Amino acid sequence: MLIKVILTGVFLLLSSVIIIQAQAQEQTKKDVLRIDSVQANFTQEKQLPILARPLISKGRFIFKAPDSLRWEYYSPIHTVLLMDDGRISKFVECKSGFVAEHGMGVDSMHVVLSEISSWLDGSIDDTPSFQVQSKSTDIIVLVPKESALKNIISRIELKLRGQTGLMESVTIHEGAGAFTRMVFTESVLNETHGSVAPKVFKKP
Amino acid sequence: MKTKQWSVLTLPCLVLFLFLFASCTLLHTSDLPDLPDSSIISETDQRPIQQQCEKTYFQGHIQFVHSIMFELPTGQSATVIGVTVLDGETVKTALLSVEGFVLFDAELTKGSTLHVSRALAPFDNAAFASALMRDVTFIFQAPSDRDVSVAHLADDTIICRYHQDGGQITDILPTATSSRVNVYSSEGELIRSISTGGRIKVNGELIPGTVTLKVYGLRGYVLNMTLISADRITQENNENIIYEIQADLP
Repeated sequence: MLIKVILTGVFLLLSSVIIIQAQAQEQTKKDVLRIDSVQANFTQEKQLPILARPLISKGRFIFKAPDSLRWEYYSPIHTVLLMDDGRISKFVECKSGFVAEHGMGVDSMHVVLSEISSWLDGSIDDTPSFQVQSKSTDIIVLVPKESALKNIISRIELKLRGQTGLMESVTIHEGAGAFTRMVFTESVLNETHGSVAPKVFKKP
Repeated sequence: MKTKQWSVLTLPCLVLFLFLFASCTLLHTSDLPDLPDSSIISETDQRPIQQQCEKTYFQGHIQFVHSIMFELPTGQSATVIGVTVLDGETVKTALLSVEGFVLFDAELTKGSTLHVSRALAPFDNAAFASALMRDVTFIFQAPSDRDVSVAHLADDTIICRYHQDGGQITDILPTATSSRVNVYSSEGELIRSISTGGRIKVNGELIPGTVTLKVYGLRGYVLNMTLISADRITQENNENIIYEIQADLP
């Protein structure tokens, strides 16, 4: 359950980026662009009432359609979450190198993939877990459908970067002064210098 | 016939088992090191050494952020981020996933009342909460000093021995660069230990870069903690931070 929650959150963030791109494409309805890959750096700010100051994490994610992902944190803890052709694994760097963390809930992948699939279909208003509460030109607010998920995430705010269709930031509110904000930079949609190398999604 | 053979073999086996069991029980000697009378420092002279032992712990309002790797005997492991805030009265702690989700958030008051404000599975049970807070207080809070013996052994080891309620004994063994804390049961069995290392000097204070907690026994586990940041807080509103350090990756 723990891993399921974590993975769902992680993939939600990734998926959010894809959503906006898909939505932008749908809005134009002239040039439907196939999403082959998405990658970006991110800075994550975690704020909690208990924290004297935000906890800052930095990392990068790479997604390749249909279901390969590398979600990597460089600091403060170097971890790599991988989904390679649907198989999920997670590694943590220690002195001896990257060590696999066990106990992953493989079934969580199906939950996540169903979300991704729905969003890629342009069904942002009706995904299995979230629904749009409000939508403006540059901010979309999502709220959970299920009460169980509401106990974990109260809402998600997606901020767009102008008319590019790319995401500027995602803020996940957990309630009671706790939130996680991820700011994306150097986003690349559909790598033009060849496809993303398959080894990116292999054990580091 | 088979029944008879079984019966014939059973008795010697049972005797052998009982013998081995009794032998193992008798052979288990106490883990608790002896403190020879000659090594005991008199009460009038022990205060400076006891203060050296107490430097293992921190006074005042301080916040630590650690990476924490759990290791179970089964080989399973998991890494989380731990936040601990101490102010001399309460102990606040939160566990976050690396991705930033709050998995557990609780506060232990001076009266030992535990308030859990958030607990996600598999941390959503009372046994985990009490065990976690026991670990946190063991790591960050000095034992009661009502009954302390201080010894200086022949090999130059210093031991501060704290006699706890219920017969438990806590030994603190400080050195110039690290500390070790051992807890023994009333039978003298080593049940928990802490070892710290990689001290970083910031504003005159030595902060351990690493803390390893070991819990022994059938349900034993290991927590490897690596310091991410430490903040000395001088006001309740958390606005006045004296210092910040950034530790290396685990």
